[in-house]
Amino acid sequence: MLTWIGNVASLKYFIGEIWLALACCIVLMLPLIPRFKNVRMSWVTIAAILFAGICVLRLPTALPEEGGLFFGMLALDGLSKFFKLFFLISTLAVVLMTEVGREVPDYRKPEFYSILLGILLGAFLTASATDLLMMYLAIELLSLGSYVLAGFSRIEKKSDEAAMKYILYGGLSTGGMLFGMSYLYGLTGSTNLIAIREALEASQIHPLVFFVSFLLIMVGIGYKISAVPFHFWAPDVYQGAPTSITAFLSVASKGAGFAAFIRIFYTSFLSLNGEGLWEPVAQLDWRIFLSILAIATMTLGNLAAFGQNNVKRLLAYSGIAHAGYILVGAIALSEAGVQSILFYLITYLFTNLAAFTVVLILADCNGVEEIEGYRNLGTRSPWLAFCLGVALFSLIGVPPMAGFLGKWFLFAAAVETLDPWCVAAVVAGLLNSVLSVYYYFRIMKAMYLEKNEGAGPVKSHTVLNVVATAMTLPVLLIILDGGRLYDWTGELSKLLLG
Amino acid sequence: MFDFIFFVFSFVCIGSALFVAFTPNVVHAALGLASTFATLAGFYVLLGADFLAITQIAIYVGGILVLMLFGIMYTHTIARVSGEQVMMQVGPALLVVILTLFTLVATILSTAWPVKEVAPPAPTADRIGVLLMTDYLLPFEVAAILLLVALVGAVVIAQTPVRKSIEESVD
Repeated sequence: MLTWIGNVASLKYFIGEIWLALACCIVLMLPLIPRFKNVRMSWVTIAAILFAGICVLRLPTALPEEGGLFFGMLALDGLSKFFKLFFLISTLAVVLMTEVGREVPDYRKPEFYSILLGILLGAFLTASATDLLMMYLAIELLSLGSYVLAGFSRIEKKSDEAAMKYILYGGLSTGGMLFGMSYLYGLTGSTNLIAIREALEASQIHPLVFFVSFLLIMVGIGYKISAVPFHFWAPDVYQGAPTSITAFLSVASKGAGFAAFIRIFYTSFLSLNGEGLWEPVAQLDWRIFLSILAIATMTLGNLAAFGQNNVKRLLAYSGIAHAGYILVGAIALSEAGVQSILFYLITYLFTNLAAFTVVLILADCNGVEEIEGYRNLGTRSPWLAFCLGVALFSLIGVPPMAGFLGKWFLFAAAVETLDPWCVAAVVAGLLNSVLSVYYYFRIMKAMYLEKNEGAGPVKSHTVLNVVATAMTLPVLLIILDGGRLYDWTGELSKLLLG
Repeated sequence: MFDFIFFVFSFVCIGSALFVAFTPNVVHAALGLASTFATLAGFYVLLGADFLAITQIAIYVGGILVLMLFGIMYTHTIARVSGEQVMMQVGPALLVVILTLFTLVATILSTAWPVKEVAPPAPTADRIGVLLMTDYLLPFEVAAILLLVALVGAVVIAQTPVRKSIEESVD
């Protein structure tokens, strides 16, 4: 049994979150004071993010007395630290993209940043929640804000449609998740994830009810990570939302989904044996179900991407496929599996943000979203074409890009277990990587091989160029010291398990 | 006696929920929803959750429903929407619904749920209050942030046309 830390004593580990909540209000109120009317709220937001980043970096990865904060509501462990940094980097990029982009008019930016900071707080709490109640609230905070931001550029009709589809699917799936959580509570009489596992281990539980609650919780999480069959919202929302928000949804929101996945299932539904492997409690092997889900997700995502002409839509389907790849690491049920998921998320973060920054430059400054508009980009803007090219190669998993290393560790962790279902999922993952070459290369072909006589040089913005470069460099350079980065994710992949 | 009251509540609750789903008139649907909410409060009373029952009435019937009715009143077009309800994919939807219902009912019936000894009814408000200020302080506070974000979001969604026309008139 763990010793929980009380509310006041927990506050010193909670400064980053408190500051984010404060900044959420400050950004909203400050423009109302005439003196600060013309201050750009992006500065306040960036300051808040950087300050929260310093707080997170100073956090220990475990408490000396091994306990949860706020009477077992939050965990202070490597996993939460990793995901907090992950969310901070992606939000910082999104703020920069929004500030110089033209999709969000200036007078609406304070509200935009306020909601974005609220979402960031929700993501922070999702990554560290060890209580079903807290987890639900955190996911809801994350989702509610995302619904609004997805519909933020309301001049465009597509944006309205995106928000509407997002909220309808979101309401249904979080409802399902809550129902599944109520089953768990009814079985164990507790909402604390660690107490739930202890109760499940102690009692004989009918596998059926266990599986149903697993399935229902998976509905909510599958929706966040856009896994098949809960992916229907993704293409429309990605296309309709402002591009910076699309980038946020495809990286941070998906990351939050995986954080919740690892937190709930690895804490409550599995128990750790001595050799770094997890075993399902209550004799229910849901690994089979998950590997079918993973195979379906990557295959359908890739097949649907074939016919797409809109690059944002294409990247949405590519994001679905990548959710499938990451699930392969989840079914390994080993410490190496969690570690490789974290590593893959790092590579995915930089790769996807690089791709979306270039997409934003073309969509926002040049009004081009279709593949035809990317023709001849290689000579019109060699550096941007290079950034997007590197990102696409990394998404395919071509060495020496970061995506290759990510996939390598992910599949290696799954094969290591020698479980037939894991091996099947890895084989499907490799075949799918080959399949995906086709649609990523359609963009490459348009950029470098097709001629476009009429188009002039690409308009861009210095900040966006800097963001694109800053996101592309890690994709290229991770390979130089991939081993050390992988060890670092190993240190951070420790969960508070009690 | 308890059983009898329970079945009366259940009957009214499910009946009015069906009414909400099938009536073409939005105002009637909102009133049906009021009856569903009120009978849910009745269930809470039967379970000895007095605080929850009062909250249910105060917030859902008193707050959310009145807000909904105001929303309907102020939205001109909603009241004039024709009663046609388009149903698509009836077959597959029915199949999914029946399968889900069957699974859930089978699960609930086949599970040996741990049952607690029924305690004599006691007021719960003070214990809930203490817990909200101790063990559940953080969720309580996060709920406040959640409501703030929802409020700002609602304003953002509703405000655009007004703001635009102001800007146009200034220009």
